[in-house]
Amino acid sequence: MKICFWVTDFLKAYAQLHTHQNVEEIVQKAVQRIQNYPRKYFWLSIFAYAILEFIAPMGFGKVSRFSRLNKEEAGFLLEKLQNTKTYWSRLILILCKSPVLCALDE
Amino acid sequence: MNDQKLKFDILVIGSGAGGALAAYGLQKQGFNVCMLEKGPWAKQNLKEVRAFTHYYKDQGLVGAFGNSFIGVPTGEVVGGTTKINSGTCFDTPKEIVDTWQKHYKMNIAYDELSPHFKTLRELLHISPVPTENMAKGNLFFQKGIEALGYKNHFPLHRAAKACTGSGRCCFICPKDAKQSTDVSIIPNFLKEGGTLFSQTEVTGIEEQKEGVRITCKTSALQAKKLIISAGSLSTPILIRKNKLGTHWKKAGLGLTIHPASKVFGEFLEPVYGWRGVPQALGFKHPNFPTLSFEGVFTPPALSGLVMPLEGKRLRGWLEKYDHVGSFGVMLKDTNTGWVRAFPGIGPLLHYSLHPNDFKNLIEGLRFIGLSYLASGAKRILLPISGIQNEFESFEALKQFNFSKMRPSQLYSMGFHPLGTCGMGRVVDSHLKLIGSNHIYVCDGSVVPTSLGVNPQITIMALALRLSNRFSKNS
Repeated sequence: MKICFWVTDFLKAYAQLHTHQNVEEIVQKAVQRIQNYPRKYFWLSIFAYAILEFIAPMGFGKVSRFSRLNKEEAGFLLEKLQNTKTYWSRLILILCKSPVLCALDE
Repeated sequence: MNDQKLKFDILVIGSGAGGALAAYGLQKQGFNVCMLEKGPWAKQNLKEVRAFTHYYKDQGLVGAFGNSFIGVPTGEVVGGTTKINSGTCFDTPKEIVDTWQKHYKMNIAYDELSPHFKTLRELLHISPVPTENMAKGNLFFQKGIEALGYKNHFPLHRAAKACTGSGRCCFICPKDAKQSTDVSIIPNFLKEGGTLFSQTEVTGIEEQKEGVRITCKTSALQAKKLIISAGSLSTPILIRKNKLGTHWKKAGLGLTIHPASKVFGEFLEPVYGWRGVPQALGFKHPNFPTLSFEGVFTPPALSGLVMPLEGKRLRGWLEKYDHVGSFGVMLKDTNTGWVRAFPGIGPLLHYSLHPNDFKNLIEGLRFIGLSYLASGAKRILLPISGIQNEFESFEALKQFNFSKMRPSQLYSMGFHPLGTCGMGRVVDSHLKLIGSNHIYVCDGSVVPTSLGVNPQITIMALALRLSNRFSKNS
């Protein structure tokens, strides 16, 4: 299944926060992982990436895509999403970051 | 399986704790048995991440929604969840079976199950974990609780033979030391003449006058009897989808999961938590009878997913992961949830933590944190978000007020889904589907209440009891 542009942009930005090496390779592995998700989770992921890439920054006062934020702003946004009292934002974040974290250690 | 019609005496859907033992018991008695397993045979020596995505149901993405989100990982591989569990074995507590008998009016006695515990001990080479094989996270917990005045820790009993402590119990044992059913039971089943089709998904079940007809993608199979052992999450969906028995509408209710969570501790000395048996030590706290404390450790490759952190703080812990240990706590749950499949969405799980269960779980996590700090941990990390979750001071953790915390702030997992086709509700005391003549259920879904202990032996004992019953009636 084809991956939307905002997914690869987010994956690249997230990978760059965690490593400087082989970012392209990590993004490629992450994309493959998402493409192999069961269909339900694939579409959930696409939706989740769209939220993180386009909507989440606006929730924190930034009129920008996540992948265009500088590292500090991106890190701040991720920490805020991780640290909420409800679980929806954490779930969306875990769904989006897990392909990269898994690819980092493969 | 080629495009053909196949006939057997007994078909078994699923190759885990229930399916494999039932199939083996029946094949040994001379029945012609065929097992159908949706998952593949596991390859050894895959990296942990690949094992996680290849052999866990839905790549490990399954979870229950409710007042908290709780991951519910199960296996979809030959061996079922026994292939991806920690191998910890407990006999069914007598008081639990007595409860089934007295309060739920089930026609089942402890004496029907207890002879099978001995058989299983031999079949699965169940033995206590030697101290020298324990991962260090367990030993630090032991040191900590002893410093706090508790001595009633005990080595956990595991189904393992010649275990060298590879630390990968949940991500495919590289040495086949863990006695999952594909290692301990299925080879014997095949030697006795049994048939196993892996990577075979059942698409339809029809009960007929003389037996059952099963359809898979390219084949149809017929048998006189069917045993459904697809697991607590899949069995009720099969029953509902095919409207099997007369109580199919109740299938999926009554889900219990043993909510569990863990605490990380960073120590001054290297821990290498992935070396040794991660789930090696057990402990029961006298003040919290519904809690079971057991060792646990996530390999480095998946650690970033399970820590309640992001950014610099996450990197800080991951960089020191060789100095990190962890220990867990599991709860005998009060509440029940449900699992159902919805058109266009597929299976959904719902489960909410009971307020008392939530409170007890938090106190259990606090206790682990205090134990780790008492044993010399530099800092501990609790699986919570939205409030302080790192502590370096014993007193600060002891005094911290968690009363305003909500279940949605807790990171937890449910490793033991049970109860979705419980005895007395969907199946009878002998595991026959109520209203059916030819269909039985034999997996965790038939356990009618939360067990409070790791359920593998209970499920296997129920399976052997079922297979004995077949021989008496045939």
